[in-house]
Amino acid sequence: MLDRRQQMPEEDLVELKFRLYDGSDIGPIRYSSSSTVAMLKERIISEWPRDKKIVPKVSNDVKLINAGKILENSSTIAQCKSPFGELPAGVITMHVVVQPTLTKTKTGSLPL
Amino acid sequence: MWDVAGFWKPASDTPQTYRSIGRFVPIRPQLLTASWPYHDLGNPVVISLSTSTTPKSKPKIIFIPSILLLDLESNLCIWFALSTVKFEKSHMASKRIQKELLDLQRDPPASCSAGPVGEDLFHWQATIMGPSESPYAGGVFFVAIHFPQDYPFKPPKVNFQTKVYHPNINSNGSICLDILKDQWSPALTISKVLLSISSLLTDPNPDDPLVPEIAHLYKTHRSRYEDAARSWTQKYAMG
Repeated sequence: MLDRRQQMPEEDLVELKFRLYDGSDIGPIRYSSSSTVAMLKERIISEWPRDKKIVPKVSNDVKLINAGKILENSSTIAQCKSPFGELPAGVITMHVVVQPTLTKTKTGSLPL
Repeated sequence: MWDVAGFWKPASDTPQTYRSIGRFVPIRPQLLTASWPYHDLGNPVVISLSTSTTPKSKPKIIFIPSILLLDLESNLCIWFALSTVKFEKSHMASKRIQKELLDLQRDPPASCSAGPVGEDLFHWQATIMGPSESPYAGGVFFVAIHFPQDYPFKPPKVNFQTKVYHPNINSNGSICLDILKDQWSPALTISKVLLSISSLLTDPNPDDPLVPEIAHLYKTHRSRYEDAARSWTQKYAMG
């Protein structure tokens, strides 16, 4: 909390956490609120924990969800914020869903 | 003539016992007031009509027909009378819904996400991620939530917007789940409801079906049911 106040810059910073399918988190990471969802996805791919069974390869494999909505690649974090954002929110937690585009699982094999 | 002796909240450690949190004070006939700890707002409160100061038997949760909340510095005041004032009901509901929203933003369950659709706090959209050990794995299912004006005393209306092949979810997205009907309790939250729906995806209840054909297939040809559920998930929930 302290260092956050000390380095408070001119541009708006938002702290984000990414919650994975198994309940583990990536982050919190601080972003400028003008960062786009596509940029977040690239960062998620690069920070993905190596020990997971499911590993997304390209950012198209990843969907980001916040407050019940799938976020568009071109949106900025500022645009994704809820109109009820005046709540003392602190870190925003987003969900990450991995849906590899080319996976056609064979019937009977373990699906994603 | 009823004497409203006091109001209680369920003790957090032992739900069957109630702790008195205050007394109503009559300020004129049929109009009473009581101070209300701000942090308790939106939690279920038991109003017991009796002449003693402790509830004799398990008190009933009663929805106060008219309720007026006035924000006074650190305390909220509750006034109620026999006349009907409408909009104040939703004041209590919106405080409670905001609290649930805040809790969900802080620490959502891994399998679901939810929030208001637009400016209307009473209309939410949620996503449920298909449980990994079910044929719905990999899917993202959209769910619409409508809170009634007297939430949490009445259950929210919850409907699937994504097509789901499931014995307890029909083509209109209606869900057959007891806690959304007669088993609703004001102590439940939208997060718990979404988690229950998520477990319903993993463990259907074919003995209380909404779609009898799917329930039959589930009971008799489990692998055919799983194939169908998996193919609907690919088709409708992975776009």
